[in-house]
Amino acid sequence: MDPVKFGYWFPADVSTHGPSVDLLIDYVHYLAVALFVGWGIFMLYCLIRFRQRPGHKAQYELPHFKGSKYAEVAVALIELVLLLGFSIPVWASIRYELPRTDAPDKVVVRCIAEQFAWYFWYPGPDGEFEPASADRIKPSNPLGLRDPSRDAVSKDEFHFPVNRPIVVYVTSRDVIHGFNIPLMRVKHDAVPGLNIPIWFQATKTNDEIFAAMSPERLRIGPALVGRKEPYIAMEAVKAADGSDLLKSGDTFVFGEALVKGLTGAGVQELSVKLKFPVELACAQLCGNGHSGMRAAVSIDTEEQFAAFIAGKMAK
Amino acid sequence: MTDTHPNGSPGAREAHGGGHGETSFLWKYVFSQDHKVIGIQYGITGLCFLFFGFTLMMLMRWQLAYPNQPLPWPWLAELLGNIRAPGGVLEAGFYNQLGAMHGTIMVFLGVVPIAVGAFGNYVVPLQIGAPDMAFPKLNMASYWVYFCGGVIMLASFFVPGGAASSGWTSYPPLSNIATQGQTWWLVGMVFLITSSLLGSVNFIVTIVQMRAPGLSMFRLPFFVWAQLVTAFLLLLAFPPLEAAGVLQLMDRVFGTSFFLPSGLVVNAIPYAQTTGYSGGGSALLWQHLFWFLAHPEVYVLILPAMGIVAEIVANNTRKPLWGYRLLVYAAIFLGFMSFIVWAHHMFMTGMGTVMSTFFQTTTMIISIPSVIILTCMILSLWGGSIRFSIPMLFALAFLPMFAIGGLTGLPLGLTLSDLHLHDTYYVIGHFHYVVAPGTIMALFAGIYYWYPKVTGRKMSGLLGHLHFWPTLILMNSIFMPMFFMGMAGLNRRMYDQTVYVHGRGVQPLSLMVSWSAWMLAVAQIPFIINFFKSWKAGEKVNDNPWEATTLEWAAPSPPPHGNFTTLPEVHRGPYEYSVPGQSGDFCPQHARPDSASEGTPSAPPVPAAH
Ligand code: HEM
Ligand SMILES: [Cu+2]
Ligand SMILES: [Cu+2]
Repeated sequence: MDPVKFGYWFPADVSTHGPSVDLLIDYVHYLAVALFVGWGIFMLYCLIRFRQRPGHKAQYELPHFKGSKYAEVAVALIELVLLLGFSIPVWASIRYELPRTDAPDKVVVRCIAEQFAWYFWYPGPDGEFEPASADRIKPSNPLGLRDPSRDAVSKDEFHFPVNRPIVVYVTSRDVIHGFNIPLMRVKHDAVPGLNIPIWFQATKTNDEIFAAMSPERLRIGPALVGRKEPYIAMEAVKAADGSDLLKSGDTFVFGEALVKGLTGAGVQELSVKLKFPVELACAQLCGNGHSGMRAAVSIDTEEQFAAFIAGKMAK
Repeated sequence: MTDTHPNGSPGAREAHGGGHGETSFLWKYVFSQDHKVIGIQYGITGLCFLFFGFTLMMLMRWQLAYPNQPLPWPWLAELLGNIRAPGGVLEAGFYNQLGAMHGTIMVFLGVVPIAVGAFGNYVVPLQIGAPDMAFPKLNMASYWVYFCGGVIMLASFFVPGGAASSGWTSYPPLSNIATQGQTWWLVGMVFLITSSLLGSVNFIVTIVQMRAPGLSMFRLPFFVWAQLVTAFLLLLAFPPLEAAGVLQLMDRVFGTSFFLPSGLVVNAIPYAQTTGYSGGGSALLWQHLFWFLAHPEVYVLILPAMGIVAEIVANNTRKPLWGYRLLVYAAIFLGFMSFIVWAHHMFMTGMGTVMSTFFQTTTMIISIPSVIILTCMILSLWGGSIRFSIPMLFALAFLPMFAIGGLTGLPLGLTLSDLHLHDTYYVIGHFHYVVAPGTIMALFAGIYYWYPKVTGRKMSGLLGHLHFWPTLILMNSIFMPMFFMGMAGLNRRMYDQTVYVHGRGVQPLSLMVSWSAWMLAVAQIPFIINFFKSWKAGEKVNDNPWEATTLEWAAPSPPPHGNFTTLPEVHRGPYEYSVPGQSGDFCPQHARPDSASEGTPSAPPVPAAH
């Protein structure tokens, strides 16, 4: 696949519907730039040609600009095309069509947001979700399921298989959160009291994305302490006393000791890759932990996904 | 609508005939009922709040540029204290307070009070040839209620838990479970809304009832039209938010559940267990009520700015505005449409296809009058004799800046493209282009333009240039990067954007934004010096230094109590510049036509010395 980079324009996209989103954004910007440049050139021309100077007089008679009317009608028509040709039909299809039809290979997941964590709840082998009740909530049974051993529940790590429609019922149990996977052009508010299905389909697995992603040079500093997400080291680092701090290919999490060690060894930047390069972000202000309310997204092969579910069931 | 009303309601006239102005300092300058004093009070208070709101943002920009690093100055950390900035690092909750209060203060305590309270109050009665507003006491009440609202908002920083921190939108349930500051915010908002309602009634009655003889609706300067439409927006849009504010107050104080659905679980404990709330409410109901106000509010922020720009463009091109009637119709249509687009702020909440189709269609429709207004103003430059005065520079800058703000609204108004951009920095860039490089530039333009009317003196041109150019460049280097940050997927309201890999990718832009914002503060120093120094030491000018046509320039500078030495009569439209066959290049609205030919007016009556 194309290299995955994180720069100043769209991030990479690994969903089936993403290209149409990006395309519409591009088209609207073509329209915007064309109008802006048109206005801009006309305006600059006027400012120069009609500047006040000796011997120059303003004209009282207003010229009749046919062009402006045409331009306005053209803008209206283009907007109409974008609206009827793209936004309304594509939106309808990505938001509503699939969950109603019975796609046989679809995966149904429930996502429950809370301050400041994401729970992903998969039905067990029976294909049914267990009944849940808030009264049963405790650390070992965070969703309050009747029989927690019959379903799979994952916190802050969202697994789903590639190339299959994924239907997610998004809700929250406290405040409004925003379910957002930028790399898949997925965004939906998690509103308490509402349980709304969205769907999407991925085109690349986590491993493919990981391979196509260029390493990033991460700035080492206090901001990293307490980060939960695993990284993979792309270079080896030795501590000040010569012992190995990190070996190339190590999977690690930034802790206080590691950051201290790196700082002690005079490392300012470290070449790493995120173990799960696709991230789920919270898009709605939900309290003090909002910006850290992040989940890892793992787009699995069928085998990986089955193993993941089996592992969660075993617990 | 075209016939003219006799000037003024008798009540307002008598109030001025009786003369209540000559009493003590307190009544003349503090509890004044004179629209000009109230306008200045609004202006100065609003500018202070604008600066304060900007200061909050400069603090936030430190955390965004240098995440989790201590503030650069120990005294600043000390000032904020250990709760707000433990170890000198801004605390996440305090960051959210800054964000919520920046938005609230900028919108409700800064820009609206300046655009409507200050410019509207000062200029509208003068431009329609009225001695004052229709209800001077209401006008005074409106200012003081606003002032109380502001004090409540400021005080909320010092209550336990600090100020409101749920964003300027205050979405429940977050705002319901927030600390006490949120209650203060709600009470403050009730004051601010009440103030706006008092003001809007006053504007409508004044503009409809108190126009000078001969001043038909279609001879009104566009600025007055803009204020009229704005007043209607405030009058019709604010009551739902006031109601919503009271409902949220009930939820918080009396334990009702208007905005709280059943079954909430907060901190893993059923909320009903800890609070005994009943549930059954709707979190989205608040969003509907809020945005029913807050979308028209956007036009409250922008219409007066357009009005200011129209006046200055006509005056400095020395020719009539192109498409004056079209402008008026577009403004009215814009005002009307602004009431039926609100749910485009809620595309991601799961509304059905029918609803989203409706709201994206209305949103596309509302872009048309905006395009028309902008086009009219730009076409007005054609055939002019353009004077690059300081107000004109700011007004000209407004046009492309507002264009960027408006055009970037398009991808947010289509659900499909909004999918990627909703709640990202792209949105922040979009609406700031409308309100900061847009409206704020127009407000500066207005200040430079009407300053001579208020003080009898002009502001310095050199300092004006020193203010304009850096401000224009920095505004762009602050807000342009935000489009790219949003495009990269970076969400707004983030305490630490380097949490995400796509956020780290745009972190250099964040540095650029922060440094530009701090430099923008420095760039305001010439303005502040200019503003205060010119009050006493500026170049003295005559009553009509810009050679303008509208009625405010027929009054002495500064206008005395009651405004006009002789109440003007109006003989023509607002922008009769460069009329063929005339000696001068402007023909004031109040200049008497020479008996036979409309052409050469007698010299405009010079008001008696002051
Ligand atoms: C010119 C100086 C200004 C700067 C540098 C500035 C900067 C910012 C930034 C960076 C944010 C985003 C904070 C975040 O997402 O965490 C923000 C939010 C906001 N600003 Fe400004 N701003 C300025 C002026 C204004 C003005 C004039 C207004 C209103 C009239 C305004 C209204 C708002 C509002 C309502 C928000 C909240 C958006 C939200 O809740 O997500 N700002 N500002
Ligand atoms: Cu959240
Ligand atoms: Cu959040």
